[in-house]
Amino acid sequence: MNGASGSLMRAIRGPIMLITLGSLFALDYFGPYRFWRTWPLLLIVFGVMKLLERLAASSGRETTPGGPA
Amino acid sequence: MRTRSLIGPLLLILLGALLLMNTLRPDLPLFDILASYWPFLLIAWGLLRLLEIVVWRIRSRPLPPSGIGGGEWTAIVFICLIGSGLYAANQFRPWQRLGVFTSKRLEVFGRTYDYSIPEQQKPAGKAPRVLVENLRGNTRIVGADAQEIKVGGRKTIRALQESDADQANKQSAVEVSLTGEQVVVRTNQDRVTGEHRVSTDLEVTLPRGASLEARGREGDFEVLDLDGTLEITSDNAGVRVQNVAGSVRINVRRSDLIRAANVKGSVEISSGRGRDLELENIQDAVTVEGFYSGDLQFTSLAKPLRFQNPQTTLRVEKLPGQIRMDLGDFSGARLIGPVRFTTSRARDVQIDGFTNGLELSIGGGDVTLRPAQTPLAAIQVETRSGNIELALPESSQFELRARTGRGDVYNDFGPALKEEREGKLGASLSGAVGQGPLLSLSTSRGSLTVRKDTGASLPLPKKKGRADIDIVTEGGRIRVQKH
Repeated sequence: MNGASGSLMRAIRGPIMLITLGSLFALDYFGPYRFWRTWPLLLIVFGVMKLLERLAASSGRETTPGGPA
Repeated sequence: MRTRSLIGPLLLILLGALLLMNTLRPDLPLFDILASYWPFLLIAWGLLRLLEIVVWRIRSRPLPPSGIGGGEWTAIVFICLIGSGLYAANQFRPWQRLGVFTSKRLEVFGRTYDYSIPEQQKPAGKAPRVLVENLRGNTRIVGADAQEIKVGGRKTIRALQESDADQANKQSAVEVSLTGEQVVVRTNQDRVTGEHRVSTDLEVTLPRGASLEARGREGDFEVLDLDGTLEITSDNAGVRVQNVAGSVRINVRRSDLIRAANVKGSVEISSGRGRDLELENIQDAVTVEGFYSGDLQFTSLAKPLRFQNPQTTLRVEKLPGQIRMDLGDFSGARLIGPVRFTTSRARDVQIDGFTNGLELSIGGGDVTLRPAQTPLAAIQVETRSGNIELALPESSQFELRARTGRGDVYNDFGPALKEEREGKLGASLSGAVGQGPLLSLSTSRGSLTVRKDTGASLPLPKKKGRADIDIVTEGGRIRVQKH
């Protein structure tokens, strides 16, 4: 399961980034925070997704060697 | 088998639907909606993609190496650029115009706090010059038999915490001050630090003789009962003006409605993009500029009317009756000319009772005309594609030159007018009935009708897609009748 979950993490990274991006713009237009203040969240989300991917991949490597890089 | 995403086809369908909306209902503010709501497209796109991946995973289909491919990211970057551009161009967006979306903004973050504005009074004399500046919010200004200026109203502030709102309220205190000979009322929303939206609904009472200049960015203006001049400038405002003795100048970049009634002075209106316009009972000259996507209505104008934008020109010397105009129709009754109406758009034109001649040139559409009385004056009609019908009083004397590039001719005036075929499909009708002015009609495609006026009123123009409906009760029943 773990190797597959690594690839799942990688596959959903794009969509999650996209949702975040859309939300930040929506927040700019309809909420109190301007985009130029919130954009670092994109980096954070990207980093977290990467991290989860690595974690999933490395925990996968213990059982199934050669999990997704 | 490689699993493929549904996003591409769905985006195409969405694009097609939007373009179709734009062609079918050009009056909807589609661009405004797009400019504000495009980020939700990204969110929907991401959610859909996420859902797809989860479904593929559950069905144990092979997952794509990355959720969103390089080409897609390029498209997204373009959407972001175009969307931000649209939004910036649309900065002062007309929430009021969007109807459904408008009443409450998506208030996900923060809360709205209400404040009442403490009432202020300043002596101002009988006929002061007054400047009212309200950047955001509605303004109502009323003239009264008094010598002081009174300011009150309420404020809504959106903020995360009440203390923030309190501070914003203090910073945006409404000021009434005397600068030189001018009384200045300011709402000071621009002094607020931080990103709180302060919207001020202002109620101002002025001495009746005041001359007023009102400025705003977003919010409606209503002005009643003034004897001085009035000037309103705003980026986005609905404007209602009633009972003003001086001249009125309205300059708005956008508006959902401009309405002026009972004005003794001249009226000058210029609007970048407006929707509805109503002018009624104006005693002096009326000048209107700009694009209007809704209904324009002019009633009882005592002096010349000039309407102008790059597509359309209208001039009428006096208007005891009424003119109604929208993007597809022009109808008028009791016009004193010479009347001149030229437009590059297609419009069905119907004019009932006009004097002193007519010059009409339209990009297409049917024309139905009935001059008011004899003796006639010169009439010149040109339409690119459409039928022309001219109903003349029985005793008319005129010279006719009518031509259609393709279509038939109907003649009520007998052999004095001679019909000739022109080419395979066209026809002309020309000749003289007594001695009179030249009536010249021309259409590239459509029938020509010159008939004797039987006194019956012309059929009302067909309205596309909607009808005005009056609801009348008779003995408790409701009957719906079309008019």
